[in-house]
Amino acid sequence: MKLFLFIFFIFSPNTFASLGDTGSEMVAQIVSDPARFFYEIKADSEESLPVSSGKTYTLSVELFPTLVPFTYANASLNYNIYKEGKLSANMPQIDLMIGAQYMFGSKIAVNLTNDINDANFWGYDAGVMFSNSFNSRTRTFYGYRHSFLSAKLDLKKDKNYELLGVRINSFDSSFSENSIIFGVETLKDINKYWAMQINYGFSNNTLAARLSWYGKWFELGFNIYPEGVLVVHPTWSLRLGF
Amino acid sequence: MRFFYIFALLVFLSPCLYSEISIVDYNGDVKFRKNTFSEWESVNEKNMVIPDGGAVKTDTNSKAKLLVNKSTVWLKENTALEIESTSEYFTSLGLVYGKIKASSFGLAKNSRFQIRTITAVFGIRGTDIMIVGDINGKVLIDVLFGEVDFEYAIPPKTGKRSFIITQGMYFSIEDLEKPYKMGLISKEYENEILSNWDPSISSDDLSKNLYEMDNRMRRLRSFVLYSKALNNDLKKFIYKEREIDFEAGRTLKDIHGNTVRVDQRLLRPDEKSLELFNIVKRKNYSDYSYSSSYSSGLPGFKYNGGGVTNRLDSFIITFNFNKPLPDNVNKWSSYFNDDFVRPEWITFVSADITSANNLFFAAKAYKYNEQRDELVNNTEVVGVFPESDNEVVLTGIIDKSSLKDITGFRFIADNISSPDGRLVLKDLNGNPTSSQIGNSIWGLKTSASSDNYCDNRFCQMKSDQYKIGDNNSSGYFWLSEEDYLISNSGSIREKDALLDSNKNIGELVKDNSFESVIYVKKDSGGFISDDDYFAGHHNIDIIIIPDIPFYLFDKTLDAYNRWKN
Repeated sequence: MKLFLFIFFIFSPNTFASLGDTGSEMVAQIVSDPARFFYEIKADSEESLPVSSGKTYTLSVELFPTLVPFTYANASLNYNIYKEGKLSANMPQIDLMIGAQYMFGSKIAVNLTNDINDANFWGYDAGVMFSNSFNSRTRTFYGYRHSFLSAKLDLKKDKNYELLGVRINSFDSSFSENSIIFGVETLKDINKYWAMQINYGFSNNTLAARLSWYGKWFELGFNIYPEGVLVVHPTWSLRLGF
Repeated sequence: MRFFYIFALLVFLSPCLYSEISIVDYNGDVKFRKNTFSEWESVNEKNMVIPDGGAVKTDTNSKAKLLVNKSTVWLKENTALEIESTSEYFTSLGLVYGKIKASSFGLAKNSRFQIRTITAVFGIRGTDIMIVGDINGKVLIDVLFGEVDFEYAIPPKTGKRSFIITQGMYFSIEDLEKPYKMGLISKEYENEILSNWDPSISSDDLSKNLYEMDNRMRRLRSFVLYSKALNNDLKKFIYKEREIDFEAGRTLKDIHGNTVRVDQRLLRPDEKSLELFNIVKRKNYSDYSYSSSYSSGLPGFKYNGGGVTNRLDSFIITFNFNKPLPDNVNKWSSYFNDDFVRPEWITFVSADITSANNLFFAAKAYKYNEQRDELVNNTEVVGVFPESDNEVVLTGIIDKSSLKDITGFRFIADNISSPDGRLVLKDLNGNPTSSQIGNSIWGLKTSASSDNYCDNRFCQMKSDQYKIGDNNSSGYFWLSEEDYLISNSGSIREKDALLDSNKNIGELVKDNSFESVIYVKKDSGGFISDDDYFAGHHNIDIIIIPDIPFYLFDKTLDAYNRWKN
């Protein structure tokens, strides 16, 4: 149980500063809508950049924070089905996006402790992305994505668990979101880009902004969830183009 | 017969597979030849077709534009281009020397459009590119849009033989013995590619594309600036909204260990009024007793209600001013600094609103007294004169719609000449009507009271006796309060710890709440009874998060000091 809670909150800004009232409030927020909190962690791993010029598909794996510390095994694939300008100068590039996530740490926690009956977190996303060149170095992109997360945690009924004063029993919920994505990508050097984008989820009125820098191998960035429990998520992912 | 059909099919399809290159426009001295062995001839007319194996060249101050399928190739002056193949699926042109621009679209699947130089072959895919080459093997390619497959004509000794040059990049070979160079396309070359290369274009239209691109860039910059501004506005809005949500919404534990959701909203019931609405939601409200630690060891008050589900309590403060409030919150500060602005009345209403038809409330009201130039809470608030200067409290059981009559100061004592404690609605002139406000009463504070304070914690147990109405025959009740300053985890704040903390006032506001448990008890021979005055209505348990009050206090501090004086 402690391990499980540890991986939930180790990177909470309040963990090291003060496990006090703010932490308690955050936990209460998470407990009141756990799927949404874990959705934001999962959403970090969702690839939402167009396939780079010269590539056919992009494979990405979010290393932080989705894989470490939240133990979400994750992979996203963006496949280019149409190159910009191939048939017509005004027709945008079209990419298909799919991704899947599974929190293997939840199963480890179940096996390591007698306090948890069951825990299961998994999700997927799929969408389509369009991109247009504004000039030789700048592309705008826009698209749609559907995301889903299932979150289930079942603690032993005979024990009362409290974390920072908030009682945790069990939850079994899911979070589904349909988002539209807008963004701009700029080529800064050979194989070096930066991009900014805004994702608006119209099913649950979620808003996220993403700022990222990426090259041949890795992508670094910040995901901002203004209404999330953790507002700013620094991210680091492996991103390969083929 | 079968061979005949195949032959006929091939004949039928052959026009589809065949394509040709033609000089659609030219300017100056442009020459062509039909094959390697023929002589150069001058181009005399537009739309002249050049067969495979032919070539086109331009002299000084000459330009040409060629079209093959949907792709276009422009030749600048002193350029020579060989036509190697122009089939539907394979178009190959050879740049001998000079400068060309190529724009290819609509290539069929598996088809290839390539431009070959002495050094390399460039496979072009949906792109705008510029290639400069000479007969010594020097070559420069700038890829404006799309991508280009690059392949060395003669494989290098080391390194890759082929790769992709993506848009926004240039690639150059200065010397075959030296490594190639690659980098971002320069602005100068980008502008050159974007300019109109059509041979017969007027000088005015020469940079039309460039202007268009500049326009697009300006629009993009405007868009980015607009997005940034919008983003900032959105952030402000979101953070403002979030701030309000945070101020207005907090999940915490109360003094009894119940998980509580507190929502707070600042409303404007009318142009002269402000209402701070604090709603307290508990999924489960557990039973408690004197023996619990929640009253911090002090003798709290008897709770007769037991466990309750879906409990709802509220605390509403309503201010009414003599002048309309500004629409813009930022102007409030100057509004409250106006010496002529003063509150007409204020009501503080606490209520258990779990049952919409049987709301249990306790309230205090203040009215501005012009002679005394201060807010008073005496019998004047219920319209009883000459006023008795003791504190007045309102309480009772009412329905949901009547709650507005209490918060909106629309009440007055019934039978003003000999008030028995009943409250009725007042009319527009301030006179009592016959409409009684539920089972509501008002009481005048007596001298009987008790106060117990915790030693080193922010809590108190307070109880005051009230005479019902202002005659001696209606009896008494007791208004009792347990007041706590609590953390978000429900523990009572210790004075020393709070005062010694290094937190600023803003952090303290967000980390703390006030909890007040209010009881209305029967009187028992001049002492408080354990029995509730209103049977079946046991307590009002409110939690006030101080965020919006703090914000308001901050905005109205000057005025508050003035009114206080």
